Amino acid sequence: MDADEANEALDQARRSYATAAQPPLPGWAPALCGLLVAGAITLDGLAPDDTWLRLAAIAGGAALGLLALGLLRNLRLRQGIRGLRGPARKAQTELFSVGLVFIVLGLGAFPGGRLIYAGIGVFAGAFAWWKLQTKAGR
Amino acid sequence: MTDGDGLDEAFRTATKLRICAFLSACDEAEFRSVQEYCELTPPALSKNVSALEEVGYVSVRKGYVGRRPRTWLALTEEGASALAGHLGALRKIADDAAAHARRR
Repeated sequence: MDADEANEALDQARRSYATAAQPPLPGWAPALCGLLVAGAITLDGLAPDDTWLRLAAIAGGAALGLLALGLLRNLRLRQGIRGLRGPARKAQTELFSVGLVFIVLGLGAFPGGRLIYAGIGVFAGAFAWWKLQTKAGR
Repeated sequence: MTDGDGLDEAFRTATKLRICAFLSACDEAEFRSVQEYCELTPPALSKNVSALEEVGYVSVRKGYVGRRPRTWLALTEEGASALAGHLGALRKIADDAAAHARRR
């Protein structure tokens, strides 16, 4: 086997892995996931003065984040693909860790930082939308 | 099952490599999903899967969703390890060629 054939086979393997890790999505899914991510981070940083309201806002943010992940998982299941292995699984674990960091940060957030969280939320939501959009029409 | 370059004979055809690389991203996938992705007819996929099952790289599970019979395919640990070795050998071929070209 020569180098061109080897590179071609490697590209093919990468494409196959990527397709099973995240199969093509319906057109509405990236936008909805982007909105859920933006909402999750914004809610997380809402920081109401009342402790219970603050916990409720953080729980709401976590629920929105989990809803986005659950939606992607469900769409994958409907296409007959279950479970994640390899680098995609590692990436998902890292995403959960980032979510946990946001939950901890949300506990110590202050009302003056709401706009910062909203800005991060809009940026992260747009990024999620863009990343998923590239896979939507694949 | 590997040759002198470390390439696994079972992945020599592009179709088998596609099937196994697809399955390497999930715990299991429905026969139909793999068939659609690989753009194969059911008998053609069955033939490839049987060959991979024979060498222990793919496992097949049959069951029902409601009343409909379904078949799920999964890459075994042995298959995952063989695929990793095959991809490593491919990378080595590509890297060696690139290094050789740089030296010239």
